[in-house]
Parts: sequence; C-alpha cells; structure tokens
Amino acid sequence: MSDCARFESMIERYLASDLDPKGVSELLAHAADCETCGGLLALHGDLAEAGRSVPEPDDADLDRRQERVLRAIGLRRARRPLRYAALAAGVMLPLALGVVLGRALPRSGSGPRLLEALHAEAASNQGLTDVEDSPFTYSNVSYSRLEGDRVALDFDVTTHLTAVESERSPLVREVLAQSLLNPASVGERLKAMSFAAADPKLEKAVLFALRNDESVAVRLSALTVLVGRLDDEEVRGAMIAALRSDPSVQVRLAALESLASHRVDPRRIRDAVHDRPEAGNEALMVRLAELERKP
Amino acid sequence: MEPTDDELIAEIGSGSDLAFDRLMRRYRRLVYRVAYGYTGDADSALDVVQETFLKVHTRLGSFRGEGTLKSWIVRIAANEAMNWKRASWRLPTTVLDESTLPRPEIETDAIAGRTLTRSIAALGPKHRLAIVLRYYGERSTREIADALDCSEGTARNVLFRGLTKLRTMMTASQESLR
Repeated sequence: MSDCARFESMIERYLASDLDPKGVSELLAHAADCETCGGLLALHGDLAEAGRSVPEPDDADLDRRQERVLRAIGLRRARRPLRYAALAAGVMLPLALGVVLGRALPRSGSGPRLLEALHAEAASNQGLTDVEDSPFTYSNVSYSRLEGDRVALDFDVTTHLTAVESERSPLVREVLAQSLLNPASVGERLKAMSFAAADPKLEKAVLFALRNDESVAVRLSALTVLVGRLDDEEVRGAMIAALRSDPSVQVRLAALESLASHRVDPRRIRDAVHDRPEAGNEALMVRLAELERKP
Repeated sequence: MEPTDDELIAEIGSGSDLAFDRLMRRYRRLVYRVAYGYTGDADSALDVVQETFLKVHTRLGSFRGEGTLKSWIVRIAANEAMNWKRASWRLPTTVLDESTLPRPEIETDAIAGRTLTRSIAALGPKHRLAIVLRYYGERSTREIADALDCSEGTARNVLFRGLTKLRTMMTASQESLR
C-alpha cells in the first residue's frame, strides 16, 4: 500500500490500455500484494466484463425506434406551417390593427396569457416526471420573499416574466423543482432550496439534490431541509445513504449530526459510519463516539 | 462512399430524412450502449435511443462543430439517460410473486449488476460519463477526452478517479448486504 502513489499513473495508463508490457507485469505484481490496487484492477475487469455482456439490441428493434423518430419529425414538420400561419396571424393582425387603432394592442396581453398557461401547466403537474416533461423550461430564476406568504418570481420562459405569487402557488413549486432538478447555477439552486424548506411537496426534488447534486453546499442545504422530515422512512434512508457514501466528509458529518439528534436507530448509524473505511472516517468515528457517550 | 458527418449535417439541414436515417444508423449502437451503461436495462436503453435522436434532430442546428458530432451525440445520450433515471423514481413498485423469483445464483448476479448500475449512477457526471464510455461504449481515451472536452491526460485521470470512487461505493454497498 505504501508505494501505491507510484503506481497511480501506471493504473491510469493500464485502464486506458496504454501501458507497455513491462509496466503491466510490474503493476500486476504489485496488485497481487496490494488490496487497494488489486481491488481497482478487479473492478476494472468486472466492468470490462459488464461492458462485454451488454445484450446487443436487434436491428429490428433499432429500426422500429428509428421509424418512430422519423415519424415524430414528420409530424413536427407537418405542424410547422400551421404554427407559422398562427404566428403570422398573431403578429401581423395586431400590427395591422395597430396601424389603425394605435400602438397599445400588440404590447398588452401576452404576459398574462403566458402566465395563465404556466399556472395551468404547473397545477396539472403532479410529480417530478411531469415537471421534467413540462413544455416550459424556466431559466435565470430569481426569488425574493415579500410580506405575508408572497414570493416575487423573476424568470425567463420563452420571454422574460415577473410575477408575485403565493408561496404555496403551484407555479412557485414548479419553478423551484425545476431549479433543483435542472442544471441551474449553484446560487439559484441554493436559493431554491431555501424556499423548498417551507414546502413538504418539494421533498422529492430535495431528495434528488441530496443524492445527486454536485455542490457540497447544495447537498448540505438539502440535509438542513430534510432534518424536519426524518419521520419519513425515505428521508431517513436517503440520509443514512448520505452518511454512508457521500463523497464529502462534511456532508457525512452533517448527516450524522442530524440522524443522531433525531434518535434514529443507533445501529443503523453505526453500520453506516463503519461501512466506509477510508480517509475522513476518523472524524466520523470520533464524533460518533462522542454522540454515543452522551446520555 | 459513405458520406462524412459534415455532409450528413448539411443534407439534414436541407430537410433530408434519408440523411438523418443514415446518421441514426451510424450512431445508434453507440447511443444504445451508453444508455445501457446508465440504465442497466435493454428496453429503457432503447427508449433513450429514441429520445436522444429526437433531441439530436431538434438541436442539430445549434451544433457548431466545436467537437466531433459523435461526442456531441454521446453527451445528449448521457443527459437523456440521466433524465430517464430521474423519471424512473416515480415508477410504481411491483409486488413480487416468490414463485417467479430467479434461482439464487442468478439472483446474486442480478443484485451485483443492479449494485453496479446504481453505483455508476451515483457518480458525478464526469466520472460517470468516462466510466460508461470506457466500459460500455468501449471508447478510446481520445474519444472520452472529446466527450469530456478535456485533454487525454485529464480523461485518464478522470477515469482513474471514477473507478476509485466506484470501488468505494461498491465496497460500502456489498458490506451493507452482509
């Protein structure tokens, strides 16, 4: 194990099938006596085997999928002239009328109508899948809390919109969920997380962030939101998983504190901490021992 | 002679479905293998193939040729496969009939396969893509570097780090089953 660092670049080249035969022999000799490097090479072998065992799809299945794609493209193309006609009517008619009636008509109406459509879509979306399939994608989102339970939303969706909504509005939940699921900026995700805290219905999106978000700050924030919902087994399971395998020791420590403070089964906590014998575990062991000594 | 990717893109741009059919035929197995690496399931991988090519057709106009078309398609496939994984959370749980359960040795393989797929899905996007392309897509380091938009040296390192993380997760998950 002591000279593993020396073998790191050799393993890198070995994985890339780019190591000369002499290097391969040297590496294999080392791996035979080293659990860490041996384990890596074994996993490399398992993955290569998994890749070789991928069931090859039938050409007929792939052909069917291609036909569906081409059919969908054809349908889209067929709808396009209609859309252009509608667009032309929508743009040219108000413009023509505007010449006669003045300039106000084309400017009014599109924002509220779009907002109505967004409200309708948000209200009909029941779960995360619906949110993902939504025809509207929100970007450049900013939120600010107003008096009462109101939220000022500012976002782009085909056009730039600003709206003041109740915190419990389906539209607010929709935009928050999208911020957590889609690749928004870290700042936007953190802000969305702070609003999600007030809404138990956004729990799935927060769980998604805890499991998948790349940012430690967002995952820590997700832990904070979920602490109040530890009675739910799914939340407890996700937090145990974070304690066991989050790449950040900071997140694992935070998960440990949350689970211990909510008196989750100490055996589950202990097992999760002991599951991962690697760097950073010492801090968890020490903290766990401290928590276990507490009355 | 087979048309190049650039020639196909130009033809698709002028509305040729035949050219798009050819392009799909060229990359569909690669997309399928990438999708399988993410989903661990043949039917789901075929769904991802379909969704990927729909996206490719929609977005082809925005492809600027900064990388290769192949790596651009691979990135779309990876995103689609991840979306599929997210959506699959919501699938209802099936109640198992014990009499239909597979024999123990097959079950062990299936569990190992699921653990591997889950652990790969839990990696960060870069590591996940590198692992999937290397082992499921059977791509070279050069092609992985193209897809990750980095140098070959960095791609090698990403692959190594990804494998190290994967091993940590697999070990943790195997020990939790004991």
